[in-house]
Amino acid sequence: MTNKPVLRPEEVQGVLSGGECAADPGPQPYSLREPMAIPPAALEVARATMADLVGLLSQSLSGTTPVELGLDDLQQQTAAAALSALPPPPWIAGLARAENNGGLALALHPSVGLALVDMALGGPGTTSDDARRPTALESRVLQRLLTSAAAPIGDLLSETLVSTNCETGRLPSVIATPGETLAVGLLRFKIGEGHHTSLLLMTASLLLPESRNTEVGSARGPGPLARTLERVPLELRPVLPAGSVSFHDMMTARAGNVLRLDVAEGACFELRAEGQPVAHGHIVRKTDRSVFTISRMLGRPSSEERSEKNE
Amino acid sequence: MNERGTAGSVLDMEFPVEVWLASERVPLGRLLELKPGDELPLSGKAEEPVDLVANGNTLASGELVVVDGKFGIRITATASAKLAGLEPASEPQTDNAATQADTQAVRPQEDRS
Repeated sequence: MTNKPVLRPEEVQGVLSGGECAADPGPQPYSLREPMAIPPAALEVARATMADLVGLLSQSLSGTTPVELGLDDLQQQTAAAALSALPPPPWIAGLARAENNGGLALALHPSVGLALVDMALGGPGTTSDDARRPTALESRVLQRLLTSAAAPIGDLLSETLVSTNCETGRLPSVIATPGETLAVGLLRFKIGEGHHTSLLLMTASLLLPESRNTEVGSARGPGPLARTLERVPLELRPVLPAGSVSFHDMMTARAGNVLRLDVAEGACFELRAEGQPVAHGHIVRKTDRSVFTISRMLGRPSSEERSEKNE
Repeated sequence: MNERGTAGSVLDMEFPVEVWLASERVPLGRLLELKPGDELPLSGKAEEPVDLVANGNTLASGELVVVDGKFGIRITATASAKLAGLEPASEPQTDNAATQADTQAVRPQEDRS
């Protein structure tokens, strides 16, 4: 058994002088960022990846007292439902992907959190049945512990992960909102003589190799149907939203009348695909035919547009 | 309010309308490739009539025109006439409609490229 604390003395100083834990961010919106989680065919691969990840965590968290950490089960649940399985308030530290695109979080039984912090500061890893919120110092130590595991976990998942502020009771919003479906690993901690359950919550696509490093909203890579679907014809129609007319004007309208519309001459047309607007543009004449010239695609902004917005 | 007054207030109510051009069938793959600046050829001729649509129901067909800097539609056929299989016929102008002399037909911008 080594006699080395998880944090070196200079790191303890860094933790002591670190920033404060994040204030309560208030209500968070529910999200359907990733309503589909892990398909049944990919469950075994996902389970194996999570087991490897738990092994890395175990190595990172072990200090003066070895931590026995195992993966009991992998489930798929909403973040809120999963966290309700732990006694309140669960201590939570997270590693987030870039662009608020999910990540992973360690949600600890309060007793496990206390023991890990105790070990990190050179103690024996004393557990306690006192379920309480962590102090600011304890939060910083916990955050530091997970930060030390960010690099190997990032290598395993082929992702760049950054530490988030610690939370109690709910996940950092950059990782998941309460209604989001996540991959949830049930962890069995054995510290000293005590056994406690904790959770590893992950954005499901992190466990699916083919969909890693993809953007928000396209977290699942193209499947075998993609080529076929590309040939499916859709009805595209230019439409001019033309304001309102009165029943009286329409009831008296006859062929030859000109009905005035409340829309300026230079207004954009919408291009609708199966009734849904997908682009804005204008109608341009080419010889005896017309073409729809696209001025703006609607929907999710491009990476360039997001960068410009952030600047 | 008397009966006539009630009917009058209802007739003054407004409802949203749209002008629909002819539709195209395009593969999903082509749609996914579209980007600003791209041109999507429309199969209909430039002078092809457009439909005036309310809540998915075609009320009339006509020609897109400009009246005092705003779009208008010169009606060539109404839905009831279409349903009855009647040819569009010239009808007297109503007070609420602009005269033909005040309007100019919308010609899509000429491409100068």
